[in-house]
Amino acid sequence: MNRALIEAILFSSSKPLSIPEIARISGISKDEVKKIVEEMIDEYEDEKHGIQLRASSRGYKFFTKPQYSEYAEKVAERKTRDLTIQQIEVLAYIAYRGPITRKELMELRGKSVDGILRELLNMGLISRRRSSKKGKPYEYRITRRFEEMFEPFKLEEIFREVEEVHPAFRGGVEKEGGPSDKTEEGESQRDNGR
Amino acid sequence: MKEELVFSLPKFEGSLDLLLYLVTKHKMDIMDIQVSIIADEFLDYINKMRKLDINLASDFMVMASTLMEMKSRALLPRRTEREERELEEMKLDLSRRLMEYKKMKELGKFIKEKMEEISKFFPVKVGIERRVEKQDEERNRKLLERIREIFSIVGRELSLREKVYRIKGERYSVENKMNWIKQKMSMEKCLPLEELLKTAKDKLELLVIFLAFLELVKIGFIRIHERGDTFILSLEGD
Repeated sequence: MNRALIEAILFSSSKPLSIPEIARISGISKDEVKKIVEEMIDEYEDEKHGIQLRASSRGYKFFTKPQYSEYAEKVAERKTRDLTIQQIEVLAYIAYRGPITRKELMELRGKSVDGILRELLNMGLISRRRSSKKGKPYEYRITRRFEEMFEPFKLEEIFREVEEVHPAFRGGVEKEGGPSDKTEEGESQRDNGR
Repeated sequence: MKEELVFSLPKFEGSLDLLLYLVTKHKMDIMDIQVSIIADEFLDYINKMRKLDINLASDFMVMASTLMEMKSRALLPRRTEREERELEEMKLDLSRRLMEYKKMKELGKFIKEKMEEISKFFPVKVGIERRVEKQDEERNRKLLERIREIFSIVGRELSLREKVYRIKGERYSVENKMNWIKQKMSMEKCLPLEELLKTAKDKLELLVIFLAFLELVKIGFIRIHERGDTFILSLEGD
């Protein structure tokens, strides 16, 4: 049964799986996988289940339902990172507007960002690459690890939400490129070696 | 105003932070800042901060002088078309910077809240992985033994090499080595621990590489797997 097969695949993977990945592993067509996955999402929404299937930037994965977090955290390990608000601000901005140079970030914050960038690089949450711009400055972008931190949410969705909630994001300043194509580019250098 | 006692002030992270605070306080439109009011208050605040012995970063001074310049330009009775345009450009530039700054702040706040929400979701894990992660004492002891072995093998090789080449003192830093390992890992994907350690030219470098490796494990950049009697390093998340 296709549904059971997909469920088994999803359960045995430690990382989220995309539709094409599930299709490749199971031999079921992408359209069929998509249909089944969507049905499964609805099915696990039912209150008789303590877990739910969710879509994040990398793909689909099972998560415990948030209302049981109090109990889940007693047995599960979830690596959480304590970041300062300054680190979060710079990270979020790189995710939203990146790839971006150190100079641009400095102008944005009105002061040096060197320390923060170094910390974030060391944590593996951002990566840098020489750009083709004049003077070949480093351009910073978020890594896959950063996207993982936001599972089970999709970064594009989070940004869309901010844009809807906060008036500052509606109009005003021109925006180059949407946030959705940023996450695609946002993969770190190490991902290119795959 | 001069002798006013100031007990506390909100903490301003930088000049834009203060500027945003003032604009918000006066309920001004960011895209239409009334420079004359803001410039004076900005200076006022800087003076208050000085009185409280708050160490003022240079960007406050730069901003103060920009605001004063704009204010004085605006006060000129007769402005040429060019001067008018320049002033408008300065204003627009400031508004844009402030708007972008505000966006960054709001984005940061929003993401921080989201992160709290995210901490309530736990990925459902299958047992196989957990078993590997759980380490009992026996395993820890073996691990330590194994690392000691690797070290002595690499160490022996090094002392031979040192005799042959006689290397002049070189300086190593953990940070540089961390970057180097990251680069190496991004190309190799997975790597036995020995391979990494064997690149050392002397014992000091060996230690620095090992420390850098530990640091990368600690921050969760590298994952270690046992394979046979060796350790294979791979990038976390792969």
